[in-house]
Amino acid sequence: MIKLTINGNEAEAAEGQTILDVARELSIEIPTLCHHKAIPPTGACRICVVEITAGARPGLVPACAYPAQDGLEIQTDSERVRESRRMTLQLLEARCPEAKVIQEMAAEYGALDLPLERKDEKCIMCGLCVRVCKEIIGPAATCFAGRGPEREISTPYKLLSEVCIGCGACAFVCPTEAIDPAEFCSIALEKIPNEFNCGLDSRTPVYIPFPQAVPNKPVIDRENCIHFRTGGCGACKTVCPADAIDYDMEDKVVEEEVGAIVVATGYQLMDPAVYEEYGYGKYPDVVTSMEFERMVSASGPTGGGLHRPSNGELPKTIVFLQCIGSRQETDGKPYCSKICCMYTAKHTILYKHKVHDGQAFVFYMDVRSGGKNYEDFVRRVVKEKVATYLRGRVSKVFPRGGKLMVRGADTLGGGQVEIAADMVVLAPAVVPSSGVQELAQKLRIGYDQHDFLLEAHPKLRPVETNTAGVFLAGACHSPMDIPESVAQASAAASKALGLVTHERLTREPTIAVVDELTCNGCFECENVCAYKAIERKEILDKDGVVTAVLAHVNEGLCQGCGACGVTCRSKSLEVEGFRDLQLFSAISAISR
Amino acid sequence: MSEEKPKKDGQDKWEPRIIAFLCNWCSYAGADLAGMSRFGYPAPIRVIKVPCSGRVDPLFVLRSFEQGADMVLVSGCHPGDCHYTSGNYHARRKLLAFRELLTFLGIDPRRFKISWVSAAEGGKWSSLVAEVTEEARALGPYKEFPRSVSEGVSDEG
Repeated sequence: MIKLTINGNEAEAAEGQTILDVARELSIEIPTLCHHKAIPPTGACRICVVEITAGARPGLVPACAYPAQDGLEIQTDSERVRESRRMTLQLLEARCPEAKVIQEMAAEYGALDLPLERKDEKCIMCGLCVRVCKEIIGPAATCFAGRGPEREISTPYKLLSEVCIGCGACAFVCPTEAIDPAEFCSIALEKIPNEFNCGLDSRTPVYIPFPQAVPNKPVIDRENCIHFRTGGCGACKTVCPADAIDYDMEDKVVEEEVGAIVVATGYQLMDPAVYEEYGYGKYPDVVTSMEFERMVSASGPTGGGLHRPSNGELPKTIVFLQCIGSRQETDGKPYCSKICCMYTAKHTILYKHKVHDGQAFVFYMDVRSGGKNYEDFVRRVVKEKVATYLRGRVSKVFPRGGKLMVRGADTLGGGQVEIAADMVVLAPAVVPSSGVQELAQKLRIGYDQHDFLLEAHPKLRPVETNTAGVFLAGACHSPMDIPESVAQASAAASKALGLVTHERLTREPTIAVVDELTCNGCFECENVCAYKAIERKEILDKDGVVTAVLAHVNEGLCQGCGACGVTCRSKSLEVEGFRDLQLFSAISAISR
Repeated sequence: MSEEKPKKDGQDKWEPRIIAFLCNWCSYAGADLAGMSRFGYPAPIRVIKVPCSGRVDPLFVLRSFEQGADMVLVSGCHPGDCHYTSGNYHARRKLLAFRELLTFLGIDPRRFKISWVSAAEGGKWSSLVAEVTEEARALGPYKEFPRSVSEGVSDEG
């Protein structure tokens, strides 16, 4: 083990670690521009210089490239070090006055005073981009070209590169944001939209899906990952201290035998672009409520800053439109989406937090604030003049003079109103998650004409389905808000527990039974059973040899519909309580 | 539940005998709702509850005619709404094919009806029964079905 001292702190280092690595483990900050964990160091920028005071030849060395040695004594912030960094930064500042990171660092080291003519470069010639392209990604599309003052980062012969794969790693690692990949190649740099932020910003191919993800661990998006596309890169594997990246992992099909299933597939918002009059998708300042939610969220793409997507200005006037697709029998969904009234009221409050002197308008059909304390909340918004509520529909949103004109009816005030808005927020209808039909068919549970999953009884069995053991929770059942979803989920969980914690399953006795004396094992019944309750039972003779395979009804699965009995040609299947004989007797009795 | 008192055969006015097979979840509940909602409907209908329209064996229909029914009605959940997911689809296929065979069997196909009534359609049930009863009255007593064919088959099946 190597022992060394940094700023008087004793430290241990492993073979191959640099001074920078050891200092970072001790939480000692050493500034650097050209260092990246995944890329082998070259010590180009000279910002990370530290002073060796004992243990080797005293002097200034770059911490990013100098290996840790036994007995070294290092000062990372001595006068000599600061003086060296100051001089380097003075020169960099004179070269790159536009680079923000250089300006900040130079200000910190008092290096803004060099009486030199400023150049207008952004690049500090650290070569990080060249190294990442060659050593990490692979194609080596960029290189240094020219000498002396002519030196620059370019492609060979300054032609658009043919080997560039458009990954954008060069721009990503550049400390001064000096790289525009479009100068190097004709491949448009693909931005991967961040799904959680409604595509308002982009994400990297290896990412944590959203802040509260369970498990809160990164995933690799195979389609966009450079390693999976070209076999190169592997930067995430290099930097991962836990060595957790495994590119050979495959998707697995996991089979589990369970006693109960809770369906909680949730909802999504209808695409409001189908209503052209609101201009969603056409005007960038028309956004959905979900996009607005992300914009004002502190963990969102703007860090909570609310800006007009078109020009980044503060929206001084904002209009919220309710019932976009909800309660529209002719060209939308006939039902009420239930959550929009409340979240719009919340959004108006959030908007006022962001824009104190802003004006918010809400166009609504009816305010449906059914729920504990909900009405108080909406009343507060209206009474405290957080937003102006206008009862009526909007007929058109159109641009005029950099604003969005919202033309609608104010049915209570009377007449037509036109509002010049900076932003328009739509509240689209709540619809079930896509693919829920497929899932319902797989689980053999019902769904209605809007694809919301069907409960067994609207009043008495609201979280159960008609298939035993399958329960519903949340918005897959119908539009509902958080308290309702939690209540339903709790109910579904206790129903499921009630089912699986008993030693014996209690079922209706009116289920099908097989007469094994007449069953001939044709298994026509298997085809009509909606519950897969027909099993194959092997009949053994006294020597244990299989003599016949007959139908057998799984008592847990059978719901007693009787379809099997009608199909059975040998009349070997009958539903208890509804046997043929019983029904024939009923016919005779009723005919007297 | 009824507007008219049921009349016994041989009394002053003939009334048809209609046997209806109703599924437990939709049509039977719909008929129940009609009663609860005080929708009147003609009395000649006689209801037999089955778990699902898919449980209705064509033999039940034949047995009903044999036992003197003038009209037979089968009613289940609307297609897509089956309590048992697909039972009414089985019923629809089977009974429509069966209706095609009625003429071959010597039975007037006008005397066999299939309909879909949901648990919420008490009103529909009421008007359906009125309609079917009116048709049965217009068709008159069903005597053509050769009783001799079914003779020899005991009540116990």
